Amino acid sequence: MLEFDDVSFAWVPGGTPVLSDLSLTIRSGEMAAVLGPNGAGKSTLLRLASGFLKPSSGGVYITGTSDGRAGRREIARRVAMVPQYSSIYLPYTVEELARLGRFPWRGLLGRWSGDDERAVSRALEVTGVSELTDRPVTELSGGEFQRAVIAKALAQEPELLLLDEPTAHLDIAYQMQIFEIIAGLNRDEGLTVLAVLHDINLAAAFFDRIVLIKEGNIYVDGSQAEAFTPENVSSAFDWPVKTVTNGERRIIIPERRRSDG
Amino acid sequence: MMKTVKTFALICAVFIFGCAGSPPERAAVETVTVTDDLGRVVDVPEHPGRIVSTSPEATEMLFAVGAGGNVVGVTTWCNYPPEARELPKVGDFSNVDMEKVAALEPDLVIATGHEQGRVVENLERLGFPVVVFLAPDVNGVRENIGAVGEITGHEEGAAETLADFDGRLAVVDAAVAEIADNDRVSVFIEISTEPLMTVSGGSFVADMIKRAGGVNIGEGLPRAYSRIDPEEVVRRNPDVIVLASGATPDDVSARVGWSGITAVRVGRVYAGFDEDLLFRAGPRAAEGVELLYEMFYGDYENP
Amino acid sequence: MAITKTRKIAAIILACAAALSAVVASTLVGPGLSPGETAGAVVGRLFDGEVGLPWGIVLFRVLRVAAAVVVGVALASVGCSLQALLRNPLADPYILGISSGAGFGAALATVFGLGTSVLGLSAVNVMAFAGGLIAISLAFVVARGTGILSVHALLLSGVMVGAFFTSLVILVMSLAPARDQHSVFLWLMGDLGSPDISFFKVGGTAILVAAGLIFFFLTSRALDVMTLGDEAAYHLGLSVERMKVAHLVAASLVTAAVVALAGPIGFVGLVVPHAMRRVVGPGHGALLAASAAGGAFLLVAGDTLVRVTSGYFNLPVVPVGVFTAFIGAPYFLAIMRRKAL
Repeated sequence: MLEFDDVSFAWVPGGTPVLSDLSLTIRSGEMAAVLGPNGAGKSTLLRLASGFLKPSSGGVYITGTSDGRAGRREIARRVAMVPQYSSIYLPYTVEELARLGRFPWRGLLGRWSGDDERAVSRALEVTGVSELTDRPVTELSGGEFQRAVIAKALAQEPELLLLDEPTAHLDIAYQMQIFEIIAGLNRDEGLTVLAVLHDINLAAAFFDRIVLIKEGNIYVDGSQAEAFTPENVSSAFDWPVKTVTNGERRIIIPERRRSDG
Repeated sequence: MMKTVKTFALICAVFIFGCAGSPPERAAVETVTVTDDLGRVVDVPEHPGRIVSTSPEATEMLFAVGAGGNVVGVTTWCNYPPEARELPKVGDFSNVDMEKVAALEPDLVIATGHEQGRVVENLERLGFPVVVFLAPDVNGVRENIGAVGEITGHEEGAAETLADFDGRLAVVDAAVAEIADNDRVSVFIEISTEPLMTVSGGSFVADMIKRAGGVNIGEGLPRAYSRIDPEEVVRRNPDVIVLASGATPDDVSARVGWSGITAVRVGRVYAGFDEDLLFRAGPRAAEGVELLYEMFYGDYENP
Repeated sequence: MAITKTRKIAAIILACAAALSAVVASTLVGPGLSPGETAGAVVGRLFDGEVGLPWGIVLFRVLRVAAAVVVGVALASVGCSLQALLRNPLADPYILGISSGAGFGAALATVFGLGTSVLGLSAVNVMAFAGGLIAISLAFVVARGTGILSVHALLLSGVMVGAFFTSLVILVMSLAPARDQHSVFLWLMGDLGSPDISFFKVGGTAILVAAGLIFFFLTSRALDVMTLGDEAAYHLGLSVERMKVAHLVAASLVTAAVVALAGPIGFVGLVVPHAMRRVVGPGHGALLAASAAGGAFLLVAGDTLVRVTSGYFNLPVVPVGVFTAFIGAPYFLAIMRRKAL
């Protein structure tokens, strides 16, 4: 579905690279989380995946599309992005916002079709915002707003959903709600998911495939069991942790500094 | 220690430069008291040998009465008589360079009232005697000419100039007196096109129009130099149009709705003349009145 | 209360009706002919072929009202587009330096006393148009030079270029004689009553404005998408750079054209889209329609007030921008109070 082939990226040509020689393959239907310390390059990786940033060297490929300039709309029909912060300042209603998600399919002049209608209804339903369709998004709570943004992304009917810390500023109820929705889509419809997360335990709750990034390159890439060993996590984050398994759930516990004496 | 020395030096420098700005010493001179057109009472040296003029009108008057030899500085707009163009320039109409004026060491500065308030203030502050001439109408010009003659000691020259001035006006006055009221010509004088502007009753030009026997359609407008709605010009249907705006008669006939105006229909749209004759409250104002009379009742043709 | 589709359509129809009434009223009223005389002149022309002075005045007025419509539509729709493009609800058509550049061109033309140029267009018209385009091109080049065409870069360079050209205008004015100073100063305040108005000028501007308006309508969805942010717009498949450039070109041409025709009239481009947004919502299709109609109404109404006060009450001719502010500001305030900002 998505492939990074020996990708390096620096903001300034010849400057300090944010990512170096990174290779990664995400298969269709996978649900993968990207984690790592601050400044490791996670958000940059996501933006390279969506094509918003172009690699300084190496290539990023999305199956089935020609990743060229003309392919921007093509990409938008297959890949949707949910950013961490949406700078929406106009009072579009939830429904109007979701409809904007059809832009890659309709373009400037395309007429509104049954397909568009269906995609939007589904997106609104799945994200549980059908009751809020006429509310201006600027008046919603944090959780409701993020769900509306996800609805817009889902209205694009993507095959790959990219998420950049989508619940960073939301409480646990909203966090769980949103990831249940996403996990449900992955399970029931095969939506490929690549999410950058800060919260290790949230990743542990929902994601099978874990990619740990450190200092611009992949530290560990594998299943939860492979990635979330105390050794791996402690080295990746430079902080001692221990892991505990509770039935099927794995929990990572960062250790407290003991003040001796 | 160094800091104190520097501060001390700085304070000294400020004092020195401050003192340099005070008025230069002047030798005691015989003076005459003059009341100018703004009501200012000024002590003017008798027979001033060095005169700076910041007014094109004053320049013309000075040369006309024979005091041209005493003029040491003029503005860039002082273009008449031709000799005036050779003189050193102290600036243009609204921006007069005080340093240049001071460098010329004038005994007297003659200014005009329009937009020169600041200039007059600055000159006074520098200690130069400044007299302001601001003739509101044609008769006012006569008084100014006389005053210039007195101040410069060229009373005879002034008298000659006035004789010519009065003579021309007398001819026009006589001719105008012959014209019956309902034969008077209505006039639109355009001083700006975009936006469309004309003169109202309170302006100098309006007085000239009246003197020449014309009826200014802009007479009742609120300000001396007023915008006017093009509709109104068409409505008032002037017999004569005088263009002092840069527009040509062809431009005017092309205007929507104007082709029906009497002046346009009979071809009495006049342009291409020396505008200074109409807008300068100086010795040539009488010629200006003559020119207007020719346009209104004579055989004036565009050059 | 939700803004339903019905409400949007009703608002647009209302705005169009208001504009139309203003047009009719404005054609009937003026210092040259009373409403009765105007009607009489029209009837006389239609039925008896009379083409005297009254008909001439009617023609002039029709042209003037048409110019007001064209300029009002232009300013409001450009305001709409730029507010979306720059993601700034305080943007107006002049924010990128056009009015200052045009002012400089007009000042030069006035001071050098250049008369009529080509095709019945005055030197002031031509040089104002050129000046406006030069200014915004400069702003564009400067902004482009910083890399991608970001909103910040555009705003900054626009303000800088605008300030630069304003200082040039002041320079020209300070060196000019009093009469020219006065002329330029009044031009800078905007004026729809130029005596040299012609079918060619108004028609030509109308065509350009119509083309611009059509372009804005066709890209109204893109405008919606752009307000979500450059990155979000990219992710929805929009060629953001291309759209920005296209909009800037369209906005510049339209604005420069109407500034060349009537001078820089303020307030309309800022307030109308802003006010309409509260009535018809942020969707740019409806917003453009409502703004265009609202802009036409505001400017026609303002110009009518100018003519009525100067003609019937013999007050000095007040620049039309003053009246558009008198009408627009209270309405805007009222709207803002109903829905807390």
